[in-house]
Amino acid sequence: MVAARSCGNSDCNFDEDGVCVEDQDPEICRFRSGRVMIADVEGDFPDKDEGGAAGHTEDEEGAIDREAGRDGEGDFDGIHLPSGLRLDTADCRALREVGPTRVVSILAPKDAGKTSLIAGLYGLFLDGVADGFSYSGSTTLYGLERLCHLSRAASNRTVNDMVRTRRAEGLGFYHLSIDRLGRRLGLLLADRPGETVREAAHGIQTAAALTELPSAEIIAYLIDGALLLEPATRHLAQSDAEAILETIAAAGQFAQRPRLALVLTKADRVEAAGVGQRFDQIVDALTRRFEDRFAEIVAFRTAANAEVLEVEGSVAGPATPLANAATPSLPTTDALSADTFVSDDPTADAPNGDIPEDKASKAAGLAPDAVPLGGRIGRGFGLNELMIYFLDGAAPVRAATASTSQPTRQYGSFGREGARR
Amino acid sequence: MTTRDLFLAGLPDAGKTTFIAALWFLVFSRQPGLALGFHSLEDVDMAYLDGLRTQWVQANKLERTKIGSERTAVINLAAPDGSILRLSLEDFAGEGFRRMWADRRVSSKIVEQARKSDRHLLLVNVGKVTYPQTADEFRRQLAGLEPGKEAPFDPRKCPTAAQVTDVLQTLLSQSVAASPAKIAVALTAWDEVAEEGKTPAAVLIERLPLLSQYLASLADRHEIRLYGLSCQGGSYDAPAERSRVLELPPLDRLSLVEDDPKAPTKDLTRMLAWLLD
Repeated sequence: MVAARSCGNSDCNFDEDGVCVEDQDPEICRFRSGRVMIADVEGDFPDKDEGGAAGHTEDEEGAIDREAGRDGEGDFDGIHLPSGLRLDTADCRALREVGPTRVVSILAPKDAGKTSLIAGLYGLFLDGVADGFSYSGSTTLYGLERLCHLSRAASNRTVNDMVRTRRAEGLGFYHLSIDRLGRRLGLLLADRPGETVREAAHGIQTAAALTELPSAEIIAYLIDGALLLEPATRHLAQSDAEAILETIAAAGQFAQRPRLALVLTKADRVEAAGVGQRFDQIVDALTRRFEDRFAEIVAFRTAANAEVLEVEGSVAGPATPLANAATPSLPTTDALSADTFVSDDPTADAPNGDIPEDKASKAAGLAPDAVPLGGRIGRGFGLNELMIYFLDGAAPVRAATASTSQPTRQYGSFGREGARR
Repeated sequence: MTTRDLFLAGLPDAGKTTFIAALWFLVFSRQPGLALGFHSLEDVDMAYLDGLRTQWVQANKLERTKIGSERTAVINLAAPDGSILRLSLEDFAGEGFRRMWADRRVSSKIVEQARKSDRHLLLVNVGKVTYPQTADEFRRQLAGLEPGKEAPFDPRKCPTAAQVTDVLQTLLSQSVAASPAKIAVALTAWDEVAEEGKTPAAVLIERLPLLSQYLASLADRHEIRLYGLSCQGGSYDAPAERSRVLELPPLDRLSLVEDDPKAPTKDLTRMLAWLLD
């Protein structure tokens, strides 16, 4: 008689060697919890990076299971729903057929803060601080919540942390459908382990393996603010960025001339240390070097958690969930309101995704312009602007200002440069 | 007689059973001037509704509906134009909706009922909201006390806004494929927020901004209305509060707020009249 495996991942030999191949606490690993079998996960990735014909969205897979009567449990009468975890490329293709969708590739070496950034962008909606846009759906809400777990009180942790994207997880996409200026856009945030991004500098072949890049309209390259703080690493951030971007460019991955957003993470710590100019220098250097490879290069300064509140010596975060404190004098995501700024996005008038405003305004008290309020203090900064950049596909500029020629440089609202140009 | 199936959805503790009990008490008391009044008794076993009524009148906390013990309430209502409305309400266990989020599965019964009903009523308890509290906020709250052992991800402890939004998304997705013409969202335990003097829309934005945004996005496909709803008149957890409620005439426990928080009504059927019209 063969003993039943305790792990649903056939690649894991936990029963033999006690090692979790997922690098998880065995008590919480999703494959050992009995909820997820490796087949379920593989089912989510029918033709990973291959562009096969299966192409079912997670919704469709649920429907197929229903029709086929595969409920997976003896006495359960019902249907299994899509996992809600990250999407694969086939899922993304299906979503792009349904409506306007934009791929944003987030390139970040390990520990640069990519996961925090994605969680922070999602948090704009969850905390009700999104300004100028609003949530209209997500097929990966469960995955986004899972991503946030270690930064939540529910984890019993007392310091914000993030679940790291493990190498074994490979490429995946978080999905957010967002309404802005009467249009609806699906945003696919490409997420891959930092190790594979760093390894792009190892050669053209490894750079070519970043298969999401050709379809990305925007590349968000993350500069790890923590590296700028230390003498030993302060030059590494720029050197890494040059090596990674140069090799990827040599692999032809930027042939479509995407837009490049240089995103400083942990900017609260950088500014608190008074070394913000180091980021300026990196932006200058990268712009000079790569300006002919991208449609434009734009810089943003972000911090994804509440530490900024302490650094600034301002209002501490709300001790109670609905502490409706006055907005602290933070370099926060001050409004980029729809009527103050315009986009030079040539696709701004695209017919697809239009939302009939008359119908939208019929919802009792739910007109979109009434939505982006909230009782919470924003926990980070720079994220609202970054999201608008992702949505508009162009740097927001003041209505009175003519569009600048490309490539352009614009800064976030925090730091020596002061207000947005 | 027109038969209307109303799909009643909500996480555990949303107040679905209490709503049915209060509605039945209100209608069966034959109060004059209701938007939808009592018409007749259905020739079915009324023990379920009668049991709810007796518990509700005594301000007893109603037992949570368990999976497998769901019941259907049928109420014949008279509309002002003389037409008869046969309202059928399935009292699903809230855990069935929670499983949609946490276990990524949904029962056939929920799917069938959601598809069958083109009017949905989603109840959300605004007195019991789990907020996305950060670890940093948690540390400040602990004020030096030791936290418990690190806890694994438990989807049941995720923010209420994420859970409810995902449940509604799933109902409207291709997986379940419900397509209600009208959706009413009732914020229950309204008595706990009534003193703030805010509209239901304002309370929703403040407490559940993700859900608020999502509902706004649905306005091009569904008619949506928000209500503040109190069916108990107070919390029954505290004995003093329950005693206070018991001093009130039962109908005074009821409160429905539409747009004007200063003009609540006891007539819960106003919400149904809009929903079922």
